[in-house]
Amino acid sequence: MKHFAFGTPGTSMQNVIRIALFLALMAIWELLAASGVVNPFYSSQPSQILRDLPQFYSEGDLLKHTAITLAEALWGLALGTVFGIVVAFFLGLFDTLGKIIEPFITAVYGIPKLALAPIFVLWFGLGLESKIIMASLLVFFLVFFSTYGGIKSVDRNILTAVRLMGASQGQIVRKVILPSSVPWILAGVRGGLGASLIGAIVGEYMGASAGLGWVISSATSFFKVDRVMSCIFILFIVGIVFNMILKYIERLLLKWRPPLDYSGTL
Amino acid sequence: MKDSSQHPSPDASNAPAKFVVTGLRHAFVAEGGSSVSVLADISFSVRPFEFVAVVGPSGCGKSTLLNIMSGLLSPQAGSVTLDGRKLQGITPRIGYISQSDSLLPWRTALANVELGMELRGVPKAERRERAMELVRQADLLGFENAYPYQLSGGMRKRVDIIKILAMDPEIIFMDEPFASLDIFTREMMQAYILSLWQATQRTVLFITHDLTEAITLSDRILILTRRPALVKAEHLVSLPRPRTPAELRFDPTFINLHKRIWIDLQDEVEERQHS
Repeated sequence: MKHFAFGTPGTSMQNVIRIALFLALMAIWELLAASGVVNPFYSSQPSQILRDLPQFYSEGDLLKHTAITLAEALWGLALGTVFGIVVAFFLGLFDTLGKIIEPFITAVYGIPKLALAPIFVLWFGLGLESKIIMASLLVFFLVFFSTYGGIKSVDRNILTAVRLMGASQGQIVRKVILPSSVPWILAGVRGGLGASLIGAIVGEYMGASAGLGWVISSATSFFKVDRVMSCIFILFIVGIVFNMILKYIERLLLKWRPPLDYSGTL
Repeated sequence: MKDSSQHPSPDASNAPAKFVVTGLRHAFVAEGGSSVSVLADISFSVRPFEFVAVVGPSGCGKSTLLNIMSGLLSPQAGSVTLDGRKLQGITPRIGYISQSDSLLPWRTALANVELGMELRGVPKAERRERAMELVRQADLLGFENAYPYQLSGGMRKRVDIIKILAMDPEIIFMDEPFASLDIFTREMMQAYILSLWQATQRTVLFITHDLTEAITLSDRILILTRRPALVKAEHLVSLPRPRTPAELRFDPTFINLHKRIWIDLQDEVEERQHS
């Protein structure tokens, strides 16, 4: 009920406020560093990062490293999502199988998966593969659990009604269970976006010859904090873009859901 | 008055019955393992094109009865025959309209109406045409592309009904379909059902706990006892058709029948409170 929410700024106003807030935080950082309250040698400062970014770019490395990290994260996201959905449907639809296997997956989920990063580098080498596998493993669990939960919470009334309309098992899966799981799958992918980047970066820390994680790790060892911060800035932008794309997909796929609006309830 | 109604005759006319229900019994296992008998011994029949309402105290097993008759549940004892043949599992001849909203929320009204035909493999153009025709008849034109959340309760119910009509079932089961609607919407829906039934006569079994609704719509009313249910009485509704819900309730025949059924039901509710 937008009309009744007096004092709630519109979307464009929200963007202006958001950007202003970001700039204010940057200004505070800049001032703290310039006035010597924090040491820019360790903390860097926005003006230094702005100076470093074009240099990083002109050395020809920025795009290359970003592309490598993006490729790892996106491949990880894609593979993890596909496997997550497929395994969730397999275990969700074959109930007995699900009951047997699901506790195993939960147990494996309990292992801190980043602890596996060094061994993945050992097994799959210094190239992209070990990072893609790391990233997809992180994504897999998020998508799997979310999708599995979605399959298990399909509306019983709808299932009965469609069964009474004469639907076959296959039709029920395609026309009821799959579409009703879409919001759950998307929730898993939303978590997976961040996880895929974490998987790629941490994989690169453990052993790589390129990628933003590798740049961060090597720049840190040379105390090039400005370069580290440049990389983090790029990851920040990548994160924003990822989320914008997902939001767009969600709007497209979930237009059948009533818009949530909590204004006035808080 | 009680003489004929106390002993429901399975078939009043000479036409062979559509449904014959004989000695139906059913029990559920309650929490803790004890068995709760829901249907004690139900026998009745439904003639072709008859509109039969089933009324009973809440929780008496009306829905269980309908679930068995639709093939969703197998009876533990007794049998249901449809056109003389034993009912086995779900059949496309029966359309089932339930109390709860069973529209697919991710489909538009039109796509929901098309669902049944889609499941049967009706070509897209044909099912779209038929669905649009039903949308028009249900006075939903302009809302065919709306999602269920964008429709009012009455509109959703109408979509739910034409979704079943789209499959053209010869028999329609309705399980308290209007229980969740407000009184005005409910009356509108009753008028809608009457006009539908008038236009294309089908065999209808209608479950409700609303006496007014039962009398307004049906040809015959079966009264069930409290759980475990038996058919307690049967009342013929001799009101002429076509009927108008708003006018009916002041008709002396209506009032008289209402009173008689009320007394039947009253006994059931009171006995329950004593036990």
